[in-house]
Amino acid sequence: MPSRSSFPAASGAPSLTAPAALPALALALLAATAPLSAATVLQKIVEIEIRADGNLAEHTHLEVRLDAATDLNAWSPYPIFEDDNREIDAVTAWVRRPDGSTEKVGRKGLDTAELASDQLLHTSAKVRLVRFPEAPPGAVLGLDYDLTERPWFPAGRVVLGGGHDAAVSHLRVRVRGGGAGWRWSILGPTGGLAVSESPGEVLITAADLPRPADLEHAPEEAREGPVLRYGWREPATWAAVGRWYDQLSRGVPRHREEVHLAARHLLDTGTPPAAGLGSGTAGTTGGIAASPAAAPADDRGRRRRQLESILAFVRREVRYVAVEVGVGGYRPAAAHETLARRWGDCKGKVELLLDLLDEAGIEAYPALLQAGPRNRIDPDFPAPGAFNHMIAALPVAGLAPAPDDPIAGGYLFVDPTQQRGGIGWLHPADQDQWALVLRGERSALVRTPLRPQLEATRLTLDLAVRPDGSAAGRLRLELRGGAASAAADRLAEERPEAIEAEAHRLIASLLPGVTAAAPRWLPEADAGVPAMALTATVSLPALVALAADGGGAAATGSAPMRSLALAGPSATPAPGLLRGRLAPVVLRPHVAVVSWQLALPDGWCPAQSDSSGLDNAAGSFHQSLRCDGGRLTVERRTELRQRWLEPDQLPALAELALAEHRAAARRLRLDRLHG
Amino acid sequence: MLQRCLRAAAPLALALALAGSATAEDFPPITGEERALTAVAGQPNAPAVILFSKGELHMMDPSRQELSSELVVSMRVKILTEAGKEHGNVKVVHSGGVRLQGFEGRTILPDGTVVAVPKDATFKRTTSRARRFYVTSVAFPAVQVGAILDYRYSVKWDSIFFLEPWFFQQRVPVLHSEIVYEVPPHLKVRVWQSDPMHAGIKAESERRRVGTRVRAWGDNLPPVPEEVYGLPFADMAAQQMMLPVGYVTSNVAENLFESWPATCKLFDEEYEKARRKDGSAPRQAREIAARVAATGPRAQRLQAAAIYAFVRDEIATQEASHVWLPQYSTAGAVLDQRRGEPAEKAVLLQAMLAALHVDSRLVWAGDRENGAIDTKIANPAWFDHVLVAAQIDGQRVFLDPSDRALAFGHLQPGYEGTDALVFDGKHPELIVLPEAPFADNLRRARLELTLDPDGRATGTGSLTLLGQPAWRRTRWTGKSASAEAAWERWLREQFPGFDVAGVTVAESLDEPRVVVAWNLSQHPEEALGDQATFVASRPLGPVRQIFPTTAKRQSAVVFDFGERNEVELTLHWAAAWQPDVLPRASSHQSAAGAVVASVDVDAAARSLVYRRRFDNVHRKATTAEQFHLVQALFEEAQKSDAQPLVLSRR
Repeated sequence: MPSRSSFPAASGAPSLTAPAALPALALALLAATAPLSAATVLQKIVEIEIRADGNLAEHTHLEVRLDAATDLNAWSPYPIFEDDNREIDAVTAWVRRPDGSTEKVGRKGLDTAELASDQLLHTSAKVRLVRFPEAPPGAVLGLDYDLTERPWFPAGRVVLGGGHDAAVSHLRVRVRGGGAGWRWSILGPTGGLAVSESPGEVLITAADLPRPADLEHAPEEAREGPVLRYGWREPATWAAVGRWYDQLSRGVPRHREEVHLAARHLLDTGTPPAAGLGSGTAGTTGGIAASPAAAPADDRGRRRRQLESILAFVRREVRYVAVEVGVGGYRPAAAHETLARRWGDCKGKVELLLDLLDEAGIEAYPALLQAGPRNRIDPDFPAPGAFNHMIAALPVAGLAPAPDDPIAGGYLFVDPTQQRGGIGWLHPADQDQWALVLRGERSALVRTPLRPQLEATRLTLDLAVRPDGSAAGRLRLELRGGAASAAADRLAEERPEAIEAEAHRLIASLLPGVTAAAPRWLPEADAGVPAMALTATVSLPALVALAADGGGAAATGSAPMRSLALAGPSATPAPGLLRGRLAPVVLRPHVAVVSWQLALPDGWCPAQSDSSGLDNAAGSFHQSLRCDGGRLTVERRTELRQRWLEPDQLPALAELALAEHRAAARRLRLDRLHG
Repeated sequence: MLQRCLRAAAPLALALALAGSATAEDFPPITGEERALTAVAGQPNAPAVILFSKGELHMMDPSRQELSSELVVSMRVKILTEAGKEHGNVKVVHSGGVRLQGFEGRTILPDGTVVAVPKDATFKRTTSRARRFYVTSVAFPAVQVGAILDYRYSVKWDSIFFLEPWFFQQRVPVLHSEIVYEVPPHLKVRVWQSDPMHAGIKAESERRRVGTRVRAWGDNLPPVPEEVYGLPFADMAAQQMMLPVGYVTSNVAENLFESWPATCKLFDEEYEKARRKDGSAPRQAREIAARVAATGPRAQRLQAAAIYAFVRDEIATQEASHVWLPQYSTAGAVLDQRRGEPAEKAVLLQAMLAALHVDSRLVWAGDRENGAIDTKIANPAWFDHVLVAAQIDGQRVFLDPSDRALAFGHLQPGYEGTDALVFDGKHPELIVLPEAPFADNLRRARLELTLDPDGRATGTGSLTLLGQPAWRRTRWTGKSASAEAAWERWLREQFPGFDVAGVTVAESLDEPRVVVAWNLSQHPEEALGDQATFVASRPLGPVRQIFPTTAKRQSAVVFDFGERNEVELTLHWAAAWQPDVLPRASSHQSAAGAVVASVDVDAAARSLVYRRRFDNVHRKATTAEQFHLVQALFEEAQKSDAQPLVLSRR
């Protein structure tokens, strides 16, 4: 799967306090290496002036006290983000040691590195790295730097937290010179912040901001701290952002002959055009060209098939490679270039898709979105800086939609960077996000749909239990959606023995103590929703515990008891995580089903049945237990319906999690299944 | 001069590992077999195949006033599956010293159409402006299944030295790989070859007027497997190295890497010069020693430890993986700048120890991860690290001041038990670095829990780490802001359903020892009320079988280190409760290790003690027999740990 952060949030986002305010791309690349720290930011002062020419002048002063021996590694080297439109004018750095001596960071302590990753082949983004000398706990790292930025869009942001999970003793952030259209907003918790404003200016101060809590399943904003967003000049509407994008991409060549030929080839033959750069050959055999006499319904069906064909071509024949230089982080490559080289980033692939669809008479628009599941767009503060991905939005009116299609706001959303699945499946990272459908003046935010029912795991065990409590039989694990896609990607590169070994490890993680044989992955080729199944024969040496084994029951003279724990993956987080929680929770909406079917020795389980469950806003959980004719069937089904749950929604999630976890923790007594 | 040359050539290995002025000649024609190939026999699921990989190394000939050596690399890759398209992105690492001269590439489509790599698909990236390190990335056009990618580049460097091996095998199948060395007439060389998978490497040589041409090649080479706890790539792949051992003309006869004494002699002068220019190092050493309030026989050891701690903690470590010093490096300058590469820190430590009359030697060491060392070949590039062997109290103590988590006299696991060289200008000594016995690498967990009448468990726990497990978790914060937060996060994962609080962490760097203590309390709502199930081996279990008995193993097993894991759970319960299911006692012993578990129930006291020990004795299992023993060990551990401990209310 291509990187989900292919669209750089380069500008409109002045980096005020690297790394916390670095654009998403740089941050993602740096985050992998930078540990968090227990340090304290003694001073964080950021002064930003919006000049009359629209450029930003920024000064940052930072003093960080190292509180633990590991803190230095978190703060050094310290990255300051640069790009084609963002230049560092001056950097000074120093260390003040506990004995009062101060050492300046010399020229040798400064370096510059250009950023890249596996998926991002090249970018103009780079970091100035400040390498502080060795310093013990108690030492203070100091940094002053000035930079100038020519923003691509008149908006910016400053992270008000300390970065690296640090506490902040003194914070002062001022932005001035806003002029016409000046606006600002703070996203995230504002406790402890003092805000004063005057025309075109905002000043935020704070003292003793605590370090963010170390929370699991938390959104990035909970860790990063509150963020000041500001903008000027442009009217504060999403349509204005759409206009800005229109202007930016206006010069991109469209409707070139090569693309026309490729589209005709695809539509006429239903097969991918040769990569011979515009050598598509027209024909009609087996194609999906329009029939002049087609009825409207047939027409919609034909359009859907055309969309399928074109989308499959862009997904599978054009590989994902990102090269982003300067404003090229926003402006797509021309469709004919992407077609010729058969590689491109998300914007390039969308541009090609749209050009090809245009040839088929299918209306479609680019749509910006934020593809990180732990991040979100603030719909009330229009600016392009937080988007990091581009997909396509097709007005659904001219298509023949299927029931589960990812449709919202009258658009069908498709992501040409997906390599698997059909029209009906949108990658989970794209789901439940605000997407800005770019239609110039008619640009609008639309919430992409959530389809938890297409994201599923099902574990089925069909076992025969022996009188000694051991069991043997078949396992089948079915994956659907994102999990299947990720598994398929992984397996595609592996050698057979590595695939087998991984299957063993996966089964062992599902069923502690299991011995598995002949594991086999069965991909479902060309499924509309990616699907994979893993099958194996398994044996469990002590599935059913006989009380006499332990001796406890025997020792106390109570009746013998047969019990068993029926494991399986949980869909919900541990209930303990949710208690007293004040921060939002971010989850992966999906459905998880565990089904145990056991053939038991005679007389072990009297005929009985039981079921329980609940259904609330967060999702549902149901368990059914049935013993009949020596066969025990247990099925648990959990559905998580929400990705982002605010604190006031957590009680419903806690209720769901508790129901699922208690059911999974309970050992079943075969004499009375209901407990 | 020598070290300058080595410095210049440092990124060469990377250049080769990751992926030119290529000549203006055309690429060789595509053969019918290459065009027809759709899969490699015996290698199902191979995403790509290297049709050929060729290197032509022209070694600089000073007698002909040549200024540079040149390596021309030619590759031809065929994409076999969708996943293989990743091979369409090629990266070449280069530097100011190893200069990339150009890059030519093309994609040949299945129908024979040729698409050249355009100039605007080649991107040079600076990875360090200060050190002049670069990566050039190339995105091949029109990559599809069945396409063939051809490319060629060359790198040049101003030295006769090329100390890196040519790897014939890769992670994907290779149909043909060859290296050609053009050796100038006055240069004496030694060839070294390794073929652990018996791939079949052949060689030939030919004397020419302008020197010797040596060619080595292999055909139909299988991919190097990548397995859990497998051998490093360098220990599996067939490879060849050409080591210059002497330079002889009518006027000059210079020994190069002919023997270890000869190799050391080449480095001795620069080390000596760096040590001699020690600046304030002796004074600082004496001041540090004076602060150590100890007398008697242990005084010298304590003083040496204080100096070691100073160099380790106060001098920042700059990443480098070679044994030579940067140009103009001196001990005094490293001390003044408070920054140095591992070799520089080792030299500084030596200089400071010398001020206390502690005799010491540098030690060249190589991380096991980079492959085993053949000590018969006196190649300094085998080694990636410099240690110090200090003679203290009549004992040799090995010191590594580059790692802030390392205790005095301890080594990182990657160096334990490896071949090393005690550096000496005249009498170098080959040694095997010491290795702590497995039982010194200990993780011991103790828990005491009480089940109350409502079925809710609460109690305390502690974890003691010694040896390498302690090193691994010294100054460790994981993804958290502090050690306490990191351990709390880890413990929460180990004890689902429980609140973890009151975490304390005590690190004793110089033992090394880490002790973590915590309080546990089951969430009231997660207590079932009538039954309670415990996974008794937590937090060090349950062990999972990582070497499935039915899966085929291709390579030896190498753990980071042998270790002992002990768990002791003391469980008390309220009067209304009783144990229903207890883990069975087990005792599995073999040459690979042991799994021993027991449960002692005291019904009258309403308590039990579960004890479990898991010994994984050896770092390596190389033979089939050893592997089967390790496999059986993990199988037993998995079975033992999978047994639940269940109590129910009467």
